[in-house]
Amino acid sequence: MQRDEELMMAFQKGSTESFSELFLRYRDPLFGFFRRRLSNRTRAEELTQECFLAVLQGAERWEPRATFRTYLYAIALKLTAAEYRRSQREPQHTSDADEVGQSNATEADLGVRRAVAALDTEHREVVLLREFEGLSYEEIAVALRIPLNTVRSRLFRARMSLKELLDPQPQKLQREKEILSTPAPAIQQLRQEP
Amino acid sequence: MNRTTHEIEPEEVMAYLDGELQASRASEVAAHIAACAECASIEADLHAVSSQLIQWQVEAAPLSIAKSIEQSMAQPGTAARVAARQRRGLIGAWHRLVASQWAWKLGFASIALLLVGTIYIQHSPTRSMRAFQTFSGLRSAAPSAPPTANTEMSANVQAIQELQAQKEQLSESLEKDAAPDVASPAGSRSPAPTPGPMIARTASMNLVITTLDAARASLEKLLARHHAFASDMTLDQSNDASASLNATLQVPSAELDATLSDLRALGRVSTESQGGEDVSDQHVDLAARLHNARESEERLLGILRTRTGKVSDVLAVEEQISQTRGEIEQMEAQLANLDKRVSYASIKLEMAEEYKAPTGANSSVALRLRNAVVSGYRDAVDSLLALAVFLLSTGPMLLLWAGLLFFPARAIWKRRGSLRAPFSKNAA
Repeated sequence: MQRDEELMMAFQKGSTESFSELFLRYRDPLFGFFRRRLSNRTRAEELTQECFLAVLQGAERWEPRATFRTYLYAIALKLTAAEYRRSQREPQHTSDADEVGQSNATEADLGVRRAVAALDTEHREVVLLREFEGLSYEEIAVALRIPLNTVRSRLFRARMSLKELLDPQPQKLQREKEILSTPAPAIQQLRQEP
Repeated sequence: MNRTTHEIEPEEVMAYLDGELQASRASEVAAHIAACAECASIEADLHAVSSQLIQWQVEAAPLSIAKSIEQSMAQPGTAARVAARQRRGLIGAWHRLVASQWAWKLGFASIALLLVGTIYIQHSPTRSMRAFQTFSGLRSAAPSAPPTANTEMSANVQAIQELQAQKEQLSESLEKDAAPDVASPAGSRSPAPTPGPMIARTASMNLVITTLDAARASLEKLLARHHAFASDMTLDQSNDASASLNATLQVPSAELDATLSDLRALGRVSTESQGGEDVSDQHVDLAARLHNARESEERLLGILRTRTGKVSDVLAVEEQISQTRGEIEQMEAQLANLDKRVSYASIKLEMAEEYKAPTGANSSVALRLRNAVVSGYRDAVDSLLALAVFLLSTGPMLLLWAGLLFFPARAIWKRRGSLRAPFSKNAA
């Protein structure tokens, strides 16, 4: 299988099929990228299109200094930041698609979302890029323009925080179960009464 | 876990799980995890987190995205255009240059450097000195108002240069006429007419100053700077009146405007006047008379050399020669004085302190209050003026830098925005 960078260079030389291959490779991951960051499904679709169009329009300027994947997600991050600024200026509208999407979510799915959303922005972005986009530490560093060690420390802290947020805390739960299973003195008294 | 004593950091355990360690280090970490319960626990926690995160699944991308991209791809010449841009030699290089961030940074830096350099050259002391040297190199006066702008200064300098050339031409002509010319026929001969005006410039200025001592020190520096001198000076520092200084300054005509400009900076100008006396006719008349006198002397000397008459006639000729010599020397002195008046302008300067209460014990409360009010008012005006001057002098520079730094600052701001990647708590 050809590498992404080889496909991009082939597209620069006029091979439309190369870009189609790149599109097929990254269509779903990129849509997932936006979908996990935006509540509006329609906007996620639009931004996915815009991201590919940006790659298409800037193809002649692309240079293989970094991986294509880093380039693609760097564009996606910029688009997301722009979308975030736009949403700050304009009032939020909740579309039907969002509600449908939320209603389809499972309990575990929602738990993960809440845990990720509870992270602060810097840690959240690093862990998302690693866990869902599958970027290496170096690629994350390039995309976010931060040092490699910072990526590593943020990622570790983010995962530890997620562990705390996702962990049902067995000891606490056990204690709660014990309390719930133990009848209250008044109830015990009632039970003991004939 | 104590990071200072533990040989493997928790982040390394994570990096090992993520496949981010080199093979040698990875084998070490793997061996350590097998032996260390704490690291094994961290490994398990990280595994658990990753496996839980995987549960967050999103739907596949809709087909409409593919259609949109296909439409863009289907536009005629999309790939060909990209390829063509890549292949073209100079144009391709230009596109690559435009795409390069370093090229943009270098471009901005070059523009900034160019602007700073231009501004520095505009305000360079060397440039001012060159203009000063050009100006002071001229010895003739120019009847013009004080220059208020560079264009006026240039026009004045040009006019002065023209006058200087005319004067030199006149001097050469006069010298030629004054020299003994055996070939020329005897008789009365008028010198060449004066080609341009010769102006003896004068000026007077009354200044109101704060303290006389400081003003006098500044005046002395000013005179030295402009190669001028005070032909007379009177200082009055009696207690019952404001201290004052009256002086007559002799300034090279070419330095007059600059000197007046510097004098104005010493204090507040209450009155100022400038004048000029056209001495061209006087100069020409004197030169013609001198010329004729020299010729008369030559003729008398000729008569004396070829004397054939009586002794009384010879004595009469000698007396006439002596009288003519006296006239010649007198006229030469007048001519030199006239040249000096043209070369040096005269400034009558009067400087007086703005107010000065008698400093004795008899000064009244009202007078002291008045002085305080005047002093306070002057300080306030001076502060306002200083502020206005500061804003006017540095305002354009501040605006320039604001314009230059706006785009980089905005880029940094945007970059910070992109780092704080947005995330909706209600994300799908």
